[in-house]
Amino acid sequence: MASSMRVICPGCDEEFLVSPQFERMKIPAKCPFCEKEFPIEQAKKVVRPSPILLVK
Amino acid sequence: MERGQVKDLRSFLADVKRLHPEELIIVEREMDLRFEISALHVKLDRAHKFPITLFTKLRNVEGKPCAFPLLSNLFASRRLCALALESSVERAGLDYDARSQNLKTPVVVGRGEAPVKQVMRRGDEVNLYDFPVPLPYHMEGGRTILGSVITTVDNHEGNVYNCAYQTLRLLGPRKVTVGLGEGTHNWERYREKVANTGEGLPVIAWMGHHPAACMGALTRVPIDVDEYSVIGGALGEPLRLTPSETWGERFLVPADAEIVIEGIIPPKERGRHGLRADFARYYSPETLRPVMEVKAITHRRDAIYHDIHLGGRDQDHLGGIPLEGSLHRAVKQAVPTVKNVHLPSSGCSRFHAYVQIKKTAAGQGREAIVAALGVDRRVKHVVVVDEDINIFDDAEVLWAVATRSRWDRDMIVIPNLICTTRDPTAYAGSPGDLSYHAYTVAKGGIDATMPAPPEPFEIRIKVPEEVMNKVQVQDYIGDELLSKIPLDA
Repeated sequence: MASSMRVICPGCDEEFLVSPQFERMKIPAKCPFCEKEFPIEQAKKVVRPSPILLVK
Repeated sequence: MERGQVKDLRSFLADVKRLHPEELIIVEREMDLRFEISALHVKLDRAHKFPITLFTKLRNVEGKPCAFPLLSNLFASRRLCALALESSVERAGLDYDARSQNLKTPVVVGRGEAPVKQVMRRGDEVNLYDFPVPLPYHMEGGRTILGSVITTVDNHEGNVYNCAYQTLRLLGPRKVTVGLGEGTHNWERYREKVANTGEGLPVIAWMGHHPAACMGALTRVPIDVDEYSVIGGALGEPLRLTPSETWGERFLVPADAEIVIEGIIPPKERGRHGLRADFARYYSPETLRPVMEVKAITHRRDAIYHDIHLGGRDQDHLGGIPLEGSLHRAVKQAVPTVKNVHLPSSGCSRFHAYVQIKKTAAGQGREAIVAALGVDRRVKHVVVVDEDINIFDDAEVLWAVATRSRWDRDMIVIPNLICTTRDPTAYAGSPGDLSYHAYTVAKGGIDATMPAPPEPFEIRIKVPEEVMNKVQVQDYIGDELLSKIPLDA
């Protein structure tokens, strides 16, 4: 989805997608690979989509 | 099918075994539910082979030997979908639509006559981990039941049922999240029930039925139309129903399904509906969805667990064939001479629509584009072609685009139309807004038709028909040599 965030798990270094809805609602991300739950600000890396308009 | 036999999954598999035995593959060797079944299907897809697959030796979610075989790829072959609809490859969408408009009132049978009641489990006896729920793709963090038709009922004026394929993500042995998308009919039922009563919504998930019944669950009808009756139309005979274990006759369930899961969606609880694959061949991020507390499960003694191969022809046809019928009906109102509609797998059977018309007047190509775009938010690009173009062949449609369209005059682009949230190029209304109506994208179409008669146009090359009929390749090259010539790209 164009508005997904890519995050890198601080537990296993795997990259996965998180909905910005989770960040807005302060819901921890959950890594599908190692099942670690963590606040998004603790991710090793976060790549957010461009707001409002997707830039290709 | 034998006369007098009820149409269900087993009657259909018997038809396939009798008429096309090479298209039902039974895999007796053990396969791992983690990715292996998907790997097999992806490789079959790449080889352009689409058999129904039945896996008999599996382990359940807890890793124990599983009592349930898993059936997949039920819709992957368009030829077999057409068989289910007593139709042809070309007319499957049109015939599906005609059938589903011919509503058939369901019949109610007692529990003793309902195969789905052969085994009943309630309360603590329920364990969803008994099922062989696969993990299909690498980024999925949990197990999702994909082949379930989520059904709700409105008891205000008779029982009016709504059905839709919506996913169940396992949270525990008796707990799942339900993939109710905002704005869908089941979501509206849930929203109304909570707003009006503060109570949870009764819901069932049924699985494993005749493919025509399964496709019937995807018919687009108003919320006040009983979809069990629509399914009967698609099936060609009344759907047999039986009382549920939890609500009795106030909530009837399909008697001839393989498995029925009964539960309640409580008013406020939300759970993680984890990261998962979708029809567009991408991952959807984790979302929060309503939770379902499972109260009972009933199933056949030797029940078959029905799974859907995500991101392949199986999922394409399940949603695409019903949608072809809806598009044809809508375009016909604007262009009465529309011949056929196809949603090709190259557009995930949702994004691209090929519309074939017999053009009799200027402007009909553009009329058809506009009509088709209004039917379903997932339809994004419409290509309109003449009746000599085979719309089941992407290459031929693109040839028509190449030789019959001028994009300064024959292309329509409409910005900011509501689209599916699953379109990776969609514009989000605001960051993080996942509401159903917040996503928009530019849509449009190409009129790749020739000018309407009597305007002249170039004449397409062709070999005389009688010579085409006379010259058979095998007669000159031989079957053996012909079979050895490799397929080219």
